[in-house]
Order: sequence, then structure tokens, then C-alpha cells
Amino acid sequence: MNGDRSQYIKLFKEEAGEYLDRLDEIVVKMEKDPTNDEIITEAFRIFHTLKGMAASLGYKEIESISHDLEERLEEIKKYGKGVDKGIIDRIFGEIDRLEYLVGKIGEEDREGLEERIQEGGPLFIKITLKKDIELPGARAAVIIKRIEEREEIEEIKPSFEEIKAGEMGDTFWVRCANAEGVREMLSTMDGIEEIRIEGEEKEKRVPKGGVGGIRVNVELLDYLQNVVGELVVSSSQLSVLLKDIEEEQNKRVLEAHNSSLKELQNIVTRIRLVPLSLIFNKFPRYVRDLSKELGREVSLDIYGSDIEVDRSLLEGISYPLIHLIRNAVSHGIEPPLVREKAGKVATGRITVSAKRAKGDILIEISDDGKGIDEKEVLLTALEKGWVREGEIDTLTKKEILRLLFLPGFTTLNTVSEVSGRGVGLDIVKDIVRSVGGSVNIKTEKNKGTTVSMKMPLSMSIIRVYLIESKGQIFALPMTFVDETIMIPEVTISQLMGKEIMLLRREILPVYRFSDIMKDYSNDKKSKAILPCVIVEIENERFALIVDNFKGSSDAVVKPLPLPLNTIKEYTGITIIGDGKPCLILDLPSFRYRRRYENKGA
Amino acid sequence: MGARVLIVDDAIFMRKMLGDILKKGGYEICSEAENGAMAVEKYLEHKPDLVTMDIIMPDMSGIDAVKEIMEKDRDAKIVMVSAMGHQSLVVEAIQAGAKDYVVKPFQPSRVLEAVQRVLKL
Repeated sequence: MNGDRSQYIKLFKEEAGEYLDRLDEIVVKMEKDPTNDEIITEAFRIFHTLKGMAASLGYKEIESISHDLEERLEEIKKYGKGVDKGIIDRIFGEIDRLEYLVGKIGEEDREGLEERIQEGGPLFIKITLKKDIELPGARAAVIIKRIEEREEIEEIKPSFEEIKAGEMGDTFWVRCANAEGVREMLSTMDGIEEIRIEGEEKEKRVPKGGVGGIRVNVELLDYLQNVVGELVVSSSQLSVLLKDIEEEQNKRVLEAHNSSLKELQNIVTRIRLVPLSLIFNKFPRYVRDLSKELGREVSLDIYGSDIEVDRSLLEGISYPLIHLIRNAVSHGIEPPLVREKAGKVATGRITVSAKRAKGDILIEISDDGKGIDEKEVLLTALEKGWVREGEIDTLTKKEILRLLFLPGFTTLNTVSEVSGRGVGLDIVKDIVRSVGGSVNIKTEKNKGTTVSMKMPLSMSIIRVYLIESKGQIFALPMTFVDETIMIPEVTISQLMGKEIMLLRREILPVYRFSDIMKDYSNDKKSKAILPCVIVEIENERFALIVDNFKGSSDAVVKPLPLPLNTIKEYTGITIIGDGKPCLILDLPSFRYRRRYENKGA
Repeated sequence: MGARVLIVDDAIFMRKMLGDILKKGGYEICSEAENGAMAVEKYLEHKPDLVTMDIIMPDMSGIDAVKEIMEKDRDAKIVMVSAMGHQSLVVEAIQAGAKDYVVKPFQPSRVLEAVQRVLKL
């Protein structure tokens, strides 16, 4: 356990650092535009996230500062009068304090060093001071301090106490990661005779994938991936341009080129992979602390933590996962006595499991608690005016659960460290969607709740299903495609002016792709048999009728250029086999477009 | 114009000597302080580019002054001026945030080297 802790401390530091940077930006904006609700909300969310992250690692001061700021912003939002200057100064002051605290983490937290050393990273640097140096111990301290500002120091020989007391010759050793970078930095410092890197414990295992244990700047990795993406695009265009080539030799060169490129692409994708254990490992401690605080008894099972996902994806889903686990403990699992009364074992069970499903990763968090009370959901929705009294009886169970995803939904009224007020499933959904995925909920009274998140393993290369509509090809992310079927036109019927169909006893709304695109050109020639894609997004399934299926494919996602990237309905663009560009649809946005149109009609 | 330096030392003699060395080196002495508490006050008043700080002083020690100044300004650049026997105190000051040190009695060149080193950071 100790060994794992260092992994997520590192992650916490990195992520918290990013959030604090972002906060600096936001609060500057806030100062300029003090009544902008969106800015206040974003700051509020970040503090909320920081609070949760800090709580999970037991960083009390970071947690309490974040909590206070979150609360203050909440108040400001409520009064709607904007933020005044004094508060801005205070927020900045607190952000500085947080930065300091986050920076300090790891200096005290030297647990789990062995693990890091095993990663092959940290090495001893032997530093020899000049002979004529005065107070060599103090000079060593200056050098150590300088290293500390840059890398986390794992070990110092002789001990710092000995150095402080001057019990050292002219040589000392410092073990830290990025030894080469440290050597470079120290080479410009005075008072040093010689710096050497010593490879102690060389026989340590090589991490999976055989890449060895170097640290790489993440931005460089992003950049590399982007360049490879460009290469893939230009290469497929090249293939099209040269497709008529007869000469055998040219063909072979092109094939070799393409296969190397594919390999390069694979490698780049693999370099970016990190195991889910990086965040999964935080959960046991977190669940333990939380259940203790809330007086619950919970056992936690975790499956699939060895599955590797893209680094950026891991960062993206870290918060939603913590939030969902918090929900499971605080809202799902009942107190032991209540459970016993209901005929259950006193100890609740929470399961976190990850598995790969085609090109996607599916993460499920389930509990055997009390389930989500549909009545309570409806009451809240009524209160908020999202549903009218008369509509209640017409809502299906799925539709009721969908209400949980609406912004600002919460059934809990108390304010505590745990509840999280209003920052709920809507944000989880938004975050998961931003990484190209979707969230589903299943719940059964007294049996429990399961929330599943499905998203592509990587955001830059995704599996897509190609469809044709009015002669144009579009790509649907496979994450949302459940199945494809051919249906007879006659199976589509009308219900209250909307088209529906019956599929294995399930009533599905039917949308016609060309209608959504508002492309009414050369009128529908009614075919007897229609190609139909069954789409599933956030507890909602529907049938999407297209002109033709074009099969599945791997797509390198390129962002759309300005001003096209402001169109919500497209996630990006890709190049398909014949070298033509093809838009990748953001199915969740499309669904909304469809719904609004229905309302307008 | 050279960088602005605040000299902190309880001995007028030392302040004068350091001041002369630094002025010759092209620096401007923006203020002086004779104890830690005054050092903090003068630091906030003048926001110097660099501070030379004696360790053993009445009222508030140089180490506590370093701590206080660092708390107010994380980017403060402080060079400790210490007697030969005070290694562990110097180390403490460095841990508290001081950037470098010189040892009394000092060669003028050593002082200027240390000051240059720290200003370059």
C-alpha cells in the first residue's frame, strides 16, 4: 500500500498543480467580470474537485481551504451580486497558500520510495565539492535545496542531519529522478568540483512495454501524437493519389511506408498508456475513511486495475470516479442497522470494475445499497420545474433516471464534506462526454445502483462506424453504437406524431439521419428495408435510420479548424479510406438537436 | 543601475564593510537593519532585490527573519553572512529559504560572487 501511495501522490501533485494554474487564470477573469456566473461556477467546481482529491489523500489543510472557498463562492453565486475586490485578493492569497501546500507534498511524504526506485527512475548523483569550500555542509545544503526545487529527492547520503552538523567530507550523494537534468542544472553552480551519476541497483525490473524508465514531458508526447496523426492523414491521401500506380516497386514502397507508419502510430499510442491502478489504488483508503466518517460498513472490490488507458483519459476520469464512489458510499450504502432491518448483511459492498469492450473501456461502479428513489427524483424535478405534475405518470423509469443528469440536480439537502451539493452526475456526465464517452445508470430499490461509464481508450484514435446519407459519409463513434440492423419500413409506426419501432420488445424512438441534417433533397425514395443504427447514450436508446452502412474503421481524430469547431454536433474530422475527409458526429449533441426540434414541432 | 540590496547586521562595522564592498561592486544599498524584526520591516518597505543577513542578532535572529520574509515573499533572495562555526545555523537558514551564504571573515570577491550567483537565479 505504501508503495502505491507515492504513485497517486505524484498524480495528485501534477493535477492539483494544473487546477491551481487554471484557477489563477479564472480568478483573473473573475476580477474583470465579477458578475459572470459561469466563471464563478467554474472556480467553484475546481475548488470542489481539489477538496475531494485532497480529502482522498488526507491533506486536511488543502481540503479545508478548498472547502471554505467553495462555500464562499457558493454564497456569492446565491446572492447574485458578483464578487468584490476584497474577496478576490483573499482568493488569490488562498490559491498561493494551496500552491505552497501542494508544492510541499512529497517533501514530508517520503513513503513508497522503494516503488519509485523500482520504476528505474531515480539514481544517485555523486557530488564532490571544491576543496577550499567554506562550510561544506552549508554548500551541500544550498545544492540540495536547488535540486529539491526541481526534483523530488529520494535519499541523501550522508544523512541531512550529518551534513547539517558538518559531519561530511567533500563528497555527498543525492538520489532523485531525472538525474541527467539535475546534473545539467548543477553544472553551472559554483563550488562543485565534480558531478557523477551512479547507477545503483541496475538490475531492477524493466516496466511493461519495455520502454524503460525515462520520464517524458507530456506535452512532447501530445505533440508527437499529433504529428503522427498528421502523417497518417497525409499518408492516406498519398495512397489515394498513387492508387493507380502499376509499377510493382512503387506499390511495395508505399505498402512498407504505410505499415511502418501504422507501427509508429501503435507505439505512440502505447507510450501514452498508464494503468488504471494509478487512480484505482486510491479507492480503498478513500472508501475506508469515508465509510468510517459516515458510520457505514463497506467492503470494496476492484477489478481490472491493470488495464491501461491513455494518460489524458485517466486524468479526465479521475474526478468522476471519485465522485461516483463518494455517491455510492454516502447515498447508496445504508447504515448497518438499516441494512439489517432490510434483511441484508450489515456490510455493504461496492464494486469498481473496468473491462475492455472492443475499442472502448467500460468502468462500472456498483453498490448493493438502497438504490435511487424514483419518487425523490421526481419530487426534486417537480420542485425545479423540470417536469409538470401531469407528466409524472407518463415518465418511464429510464426517463426518470435521466433527470439525474440535468445540471444542478441533487436530492440531498444537507451540506457536508461528503454531499457535494449540486455538483453531481451532470458534471460527471460532462466530463465523461468530454473524453468521448457516456454514462448510464441502473438502479433497483433496495438492491443497489450501478453507474457505468463507457469511453474510448484513446481520444486521438477511435473506432468509428461509417454511414452514408445523401451520398455523404459520416463517422459515428463506436462507443455509442450498440448494433446495426436492417429493418423493414413497415415496422416503423407512429405514436403521438413521433416515429417509433419495436425491437425485441423494446420501444425505440426512430430518427432519420437526413431529417436531422435537414437535408430534404431528392426526396426519400422509400425503401422497403432500411439500414438502421441502434445508438445508446446515457440511458437512452434510439434507432437512427441512414441510407447505407459503410462498415467500421479506425479513425485518427483531428480537431476541426476554426470556425467549424464551434459547431457542437461534430467532434472532429477524419480521413477515410478513399482519402476524403469525413465528419465525426458527436451523437449526444445530435440527439439534443433532434429533441429540440420535436419540441418546436 | 545595480541591484538594490538590504544589509542586515547588528554591527555597524560589518554593515559598513559589506556596504562598501557591494557599492564598489556596483550595487545600491537601499537600506540597512540591525535586527531581524527591523529586517522584515525594511524588506517590506523597500522590496530590495537582495538581502544580506547576519544570523546571530538581538531581538529576532536572522533565521527567523528569513522565515518571515519568505512567508511574505516566496521569491526573496537572501544571502546569509555567518561566522565560521555556525554551519548548522546556516543550513537551517537555507532550509528556511536563504539562497546562499558567505563566511566571515570574508574576501570581498567571495561576497560579490555569492551576490551575483543569487541574483542570477
